[in-house]
Amino acid sequence: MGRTVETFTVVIQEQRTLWKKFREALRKEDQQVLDELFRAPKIHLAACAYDVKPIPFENVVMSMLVEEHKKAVALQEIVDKLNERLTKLETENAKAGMAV
Amino acid sequence: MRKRGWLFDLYPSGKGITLWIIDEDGAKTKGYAQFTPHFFMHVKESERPHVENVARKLHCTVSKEWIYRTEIYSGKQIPVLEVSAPDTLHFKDAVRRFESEFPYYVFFNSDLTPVQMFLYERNLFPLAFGEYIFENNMLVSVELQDRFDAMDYTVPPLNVMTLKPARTDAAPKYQHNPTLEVSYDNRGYLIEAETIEEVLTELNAHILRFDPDVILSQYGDDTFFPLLSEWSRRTRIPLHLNRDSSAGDMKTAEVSYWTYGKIVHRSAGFQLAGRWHIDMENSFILGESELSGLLDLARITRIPVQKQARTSIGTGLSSMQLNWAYQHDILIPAKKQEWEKFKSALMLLLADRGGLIYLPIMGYHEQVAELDFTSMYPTIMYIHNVSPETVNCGCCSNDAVPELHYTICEKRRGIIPETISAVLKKRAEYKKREKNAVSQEVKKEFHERQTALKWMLVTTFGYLGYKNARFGKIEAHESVNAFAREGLLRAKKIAEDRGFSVIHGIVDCLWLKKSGATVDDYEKLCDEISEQTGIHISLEGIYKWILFPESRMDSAIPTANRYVGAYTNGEVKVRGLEVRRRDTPKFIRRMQSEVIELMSKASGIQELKSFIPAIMEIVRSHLEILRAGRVPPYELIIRHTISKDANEYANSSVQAVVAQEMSEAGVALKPGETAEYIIIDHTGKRSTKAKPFIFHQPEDGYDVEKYTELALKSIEVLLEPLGYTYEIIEEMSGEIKKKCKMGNSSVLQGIS
Repeated sequence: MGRTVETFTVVIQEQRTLWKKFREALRKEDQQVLDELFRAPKIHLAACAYDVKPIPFENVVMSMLVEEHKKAVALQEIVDKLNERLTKLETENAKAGMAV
Repeated sequence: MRKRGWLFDLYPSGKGITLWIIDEDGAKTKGYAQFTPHFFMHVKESERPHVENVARKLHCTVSKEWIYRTEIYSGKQIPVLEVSAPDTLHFKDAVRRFESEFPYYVFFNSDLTPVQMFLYERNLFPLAFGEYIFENNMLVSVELQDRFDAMDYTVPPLNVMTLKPARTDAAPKYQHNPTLEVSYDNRGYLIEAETIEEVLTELNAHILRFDPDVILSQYGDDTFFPLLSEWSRRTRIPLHLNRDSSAGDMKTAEVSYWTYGKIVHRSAGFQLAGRWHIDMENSFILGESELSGLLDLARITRIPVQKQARTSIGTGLSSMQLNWAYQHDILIPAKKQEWEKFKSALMLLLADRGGLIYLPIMGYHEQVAELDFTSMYPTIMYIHNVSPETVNCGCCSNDAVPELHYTICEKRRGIIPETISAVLKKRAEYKKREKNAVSQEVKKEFHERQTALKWMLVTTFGYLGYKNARFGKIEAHESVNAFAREGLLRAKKIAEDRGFSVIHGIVDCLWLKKSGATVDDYEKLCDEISEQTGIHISLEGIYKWILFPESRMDSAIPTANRYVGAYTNGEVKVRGLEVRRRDTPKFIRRMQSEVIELMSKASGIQELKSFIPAIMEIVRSHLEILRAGRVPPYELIIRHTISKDANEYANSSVQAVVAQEMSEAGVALKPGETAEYIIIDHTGKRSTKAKPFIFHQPEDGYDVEKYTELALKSIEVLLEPLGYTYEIIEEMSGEIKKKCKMGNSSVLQGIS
């Protein structure tokens, strides 16, 4: 209401519009990936609004990086756990083999 | 003559100000007060003869000397001329004439009404209790035994008459010859007369018999009073609505305006002389806080009750500020003078921001606590002395405002913190009394009073940045936001340092979670945050479970301030869901509400899941009635606020169809008014898409398919996070039947 600077929610919408042509040229499955990426700044609305940069795309990209890295860390944890279980299984199998 | 009682009503008249006093025995006395309204002009010395010339023509008088009064922004005394109007009735005209003669000069106090000025000058307020001393019916003095900000006060015994349409299913302006129902002394009377003469005579008889102090009406402003007064003119039968027969009609114009991104319509007002008329359909504050809230507000704002009922909260707030300025001999500029100072683009980017929002973590959560800052924005203004004349004052050099580095005056208190301190104190006390109330009646009374004040506090902040607010300044508005962001961030940091995680945060509320945390832990956290931020934060409650559903626009993310949860005491809190939305049909709201009521009994997510069969049973039983065509039409009404005139719609949406149908029938809805309709066939293939409720006939039926979809969607919101998609819920609810015609007896019962 009566604000000169748009809220960051509106900025995100504008940024999406800026990348509309780019999105059109992507393959359908990649378009979905791009849409998913654009959820990141919404999730980090507080941080984006608190420290908005003169070029808001920087906030958008930083939010995407945070979300991507969060996912990478979560995946890494799963991979580590699976690895651990695999090593354990292999050790047990090896022991069982030796026993045989 | 001495009258010990309450100041009931006042308005300008030929004798100055007419006053009505109700004494302790309930007797009503009319008296007058001599009063000369005046305003100030800041003009060049050379203009003085011209001012005196104009004044002579208008029978006004000009002060002989230059008077020195304080200009609010600079805090300096400036010379002004005082111009007094001949009487209260010609004050506005005089101001208008002076403004056109001196378009380039600044006017002060010129847009106050004579009644406002009288109340400020005599330090009076509506319902002020004291001894009123009259000589020859003219008020000579008042020995006040009351304060405008008193928490314990008495209200005169009021005779209340209600006046409403006999049929309440549709607004009377859409009814042919609406019948009036008058009630008083616990009895209701229908005015079923053949001719308009008889209606007027019968109504007059009721008014004369009961002599009400208050007429509480439904649609009095909008329909009945204008209609009755027109009939009275036509038939020459005087209407006894006014207690003061010498007073004329006191009407205000209807308006449609934009506020907070939506269009709002306010009906014309129809006020009475010597008795109050309050239209329940045309009073925001009455709807929010009932009569006791309205009276409390009228006292503190010094706005007569009838005006307070119809005015915006902002006007009440302005009145408090004007009174403060008046009492301190500070000049009140008629027009806002404080323009926005130049800023660099980077500074604008930094300053023009609102509060912080942490989107919730989607889905169900258990043991989440809600912490709320109490009256955060007004408290910031109060403790940090944020006011238009104190921010960037020019006399102090400090770095008071976080991020923005604005200065705040250390030498004087601002008008905003000075005026809201009374409201803050009063509300805190009322909240305390509400909490400790021994009876439900007392609890309700203080709840209503504190709610009325809450709206006033909410408005204070908006008014700092509102372009038309007299005591507004954008830098002050920005400062409050900056302090608020800092406060929430600090609270978040303290919570996280203590091991709590933030589930959701909006501006002045935080939803936190920590495994094993107790009420004590949260109370301790509140104490620490309150101490460090200077703003009191309290534990609203701990939720057994809370759901933050997905956004309706994008199912992968949640939205802020949309949730449903059950506190450990079983109380339910819902925001943004269908049950809270007034556009949702009553039928769907009721079904969702029953489901949530059941869910509130669950201790956690596991138990919620075990409730699914029972939930589906509720859904099935409702859908059965829907599919059988047995839902009364008024429970299927969808409400939509009209945003443009009927002919401005370019598409054939349901809303457009409804607006056009109404318009063709001669009912032109104004933007901001609500259209009420029932969906007949949303596809528009078999018949019209929708019908306005007032034209709906039983044989029109309703769109079972569409209403089933709306109903199931209201359940999907709740169950989808537990793994039940729309398709699954649809399957569990049974099959869908197409459009059905209604006409059986149960439907007709529903209509009557």
